[in-house]
Amino acid sequence: MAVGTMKALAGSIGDINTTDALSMFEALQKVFIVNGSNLKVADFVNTKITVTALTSPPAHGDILTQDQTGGKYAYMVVDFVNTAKTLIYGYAYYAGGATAFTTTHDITSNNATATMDPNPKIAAQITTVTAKPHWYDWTTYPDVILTADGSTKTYGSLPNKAYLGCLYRGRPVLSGDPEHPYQWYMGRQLFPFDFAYMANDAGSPVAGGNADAGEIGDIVRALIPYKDDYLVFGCATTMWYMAGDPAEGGSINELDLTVGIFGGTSWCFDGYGNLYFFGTNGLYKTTIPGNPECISAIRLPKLVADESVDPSTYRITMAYDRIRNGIEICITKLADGTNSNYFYDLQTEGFFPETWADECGVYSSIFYGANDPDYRDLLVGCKDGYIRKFNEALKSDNDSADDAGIGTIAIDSKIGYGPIQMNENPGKEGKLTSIELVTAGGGIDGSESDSDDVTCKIFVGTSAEEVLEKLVAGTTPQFSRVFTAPGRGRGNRSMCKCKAKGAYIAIELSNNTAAQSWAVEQLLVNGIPAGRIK
Amino acid sequence: MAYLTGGAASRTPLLGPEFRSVQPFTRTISTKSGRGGSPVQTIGVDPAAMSALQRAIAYYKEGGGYGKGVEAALRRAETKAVASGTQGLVSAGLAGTTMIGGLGKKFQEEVGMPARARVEETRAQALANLETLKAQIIQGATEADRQRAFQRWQIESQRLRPSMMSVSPRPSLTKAALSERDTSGGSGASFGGAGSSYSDELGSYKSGFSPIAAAAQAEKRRRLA
Repeated sequence: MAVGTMKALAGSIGDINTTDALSMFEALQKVFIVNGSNLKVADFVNTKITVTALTSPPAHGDILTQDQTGGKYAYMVVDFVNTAKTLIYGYAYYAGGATAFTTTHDITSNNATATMDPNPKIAAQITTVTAKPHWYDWTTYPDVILTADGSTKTYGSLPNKAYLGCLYRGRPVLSGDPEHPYQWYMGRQLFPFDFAYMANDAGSPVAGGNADAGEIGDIVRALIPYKDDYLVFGCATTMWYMAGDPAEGGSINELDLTVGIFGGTSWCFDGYGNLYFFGTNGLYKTTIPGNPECISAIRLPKLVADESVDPSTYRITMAYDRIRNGIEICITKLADGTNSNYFYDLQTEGFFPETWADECGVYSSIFYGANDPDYRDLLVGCKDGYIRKFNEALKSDNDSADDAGIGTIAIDSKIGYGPIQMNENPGKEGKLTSIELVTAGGGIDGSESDSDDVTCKIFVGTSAEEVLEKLVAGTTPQFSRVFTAPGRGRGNRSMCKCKAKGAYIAIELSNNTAAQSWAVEQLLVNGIPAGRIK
Repeated sequence: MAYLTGGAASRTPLLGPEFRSVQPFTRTISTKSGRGGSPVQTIGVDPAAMSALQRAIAYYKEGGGYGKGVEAALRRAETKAVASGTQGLVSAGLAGTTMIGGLGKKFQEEVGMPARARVEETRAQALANLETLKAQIIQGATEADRQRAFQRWQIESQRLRPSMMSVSPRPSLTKAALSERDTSGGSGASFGGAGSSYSDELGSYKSGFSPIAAAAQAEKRRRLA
């Protein structure tokens, strides 16, 4: 897809509440929006015929025919009819040279399933014909009169509100209903307008909860479909998964009864089928089925406590960055965009904390798999309404006032090493004698990207935690020096003598200059034993 | 003496087996027993048999005893099926879903309704068979009755044939009748010929002349008329 102008669907402006939670999913060439009481459909496949109200509409799957004379015919496979029975949506196709439905010829139904009344619908009662796309309310199909026996068939009802939605095995699945927070609702397979439960067939709509027999069930916070095989229900304090279809031999099983999920967007899959989610004690990784493992427990043991987030005021978004082979975890305060983010590198299994400008706080993220590699990237939706992507070519962050592709906000980046014990004997000190820093880029210019200058700070202390506190605070270093990049330069460009003595040291390398980036090839530290700790 | 009596609905079968009435009826043929005859004849169906047939029909009709056990059996089977299905859903973790609510309906659609349909089909077939049997019995009885009546007529005909053959006066009187006719221009009226005092219809007679023959002649004249 090339660069283009984003266009709003007619009738959609003002129809959803962006201050409220919203989820959406794709199904049957439509997009279903789940935004509380705003349940909407963006339809990209059907043609719409507007008529005066029908007494009895055609059923889903019935064929409408319009004889336009001269051998021209227009046909429509009925997909959906609105509640007022004034709008008929369906897939249109033509024969004999016809190119569209008209308002000047009658339309008849084959009454295959339901009896349309009146049949035919005379031309005088056909108002307009509208091509795709369309925007309309997501409701259940109106009652129809069955041709076989004249009985009335009903299609149930949607929940009053829902905030979670997904597609599983061709079924639309809703949850997050404040009136029934433990409940999930599955529509009929491949027919998202039928929610008449207990239909007693393999595609029957099903509603239910996740619990042992007789219990109400846990509050559902996330719907996580995995192919057509499993649907994971992320709940407040437990995790469940459905295997197969509930109306045809499926089952619901426990994934973990001690771990819950943070929210509806706090999960993602990597390229190997592993599910990552932000749970009770941090970042978890699991297979489906499997046993979730907290992978942040060692490196970030107090992740949840340190972030101190509340699902009612924060949003945690996770996405798999296929290009950079890592998981982007974005923790954003909904009110002002204050954010704390982590990039989890799948190769090194390390966490890289990141903080961005408040306006760049992420509310949503998705990997856009465009054919054009220039547009194939992880996209993040930000607080200021812009959609951004990570661009290695820029050395500064993009601000709201910046044009696309331009960055003016300095990136303050750093890495820390330590605490490092300076003497074999923990009761004695050591003395740093020299430091040599080889930055990336080889020689100046050349084929490799040149690093910019790097600031080196050394912190010393008599105990490990003392050094750690100084490192975290970043103030009062024992030694500080800017090493000139790139590569290994002669003289003091890359190496210098320094006098820093202590039982423990920590080293910080950083750069916070706008329009600069840096990388390190080697850090060589030389030291000698010193006397007892003073 | 033999009398021929009958009610308004009776017709003598003496001229042949051409019945004018198809209604079963009772009449007295002879006061004395004749060949193959009996004092009173009644049509066909044994009341005991008909009663049994009616009871069978009543059994299969709505409200009869047929099919009562089926409903009870279905209720019990539904209870067991729903319980078993519930156990299965609990094992599958689907106890908290609408699948449990659909178990009873599923049983009715897959077991209950077909079973009831079979019961009704059997009921209809049985009733049809019984009604057909009843019709056959009645028809058979009717035909048997007619056959018996015909046979009785035949028997009577056979029995009375010698008398019927003496429609003409005995030879000993013929001559006298003829001579009377010849001499008086009459017809041997004194001997039962035309103009005689004897009635053309059934009535009194002089000896030597059979009233049956006279009645036969009267019938013949009526038909010709």
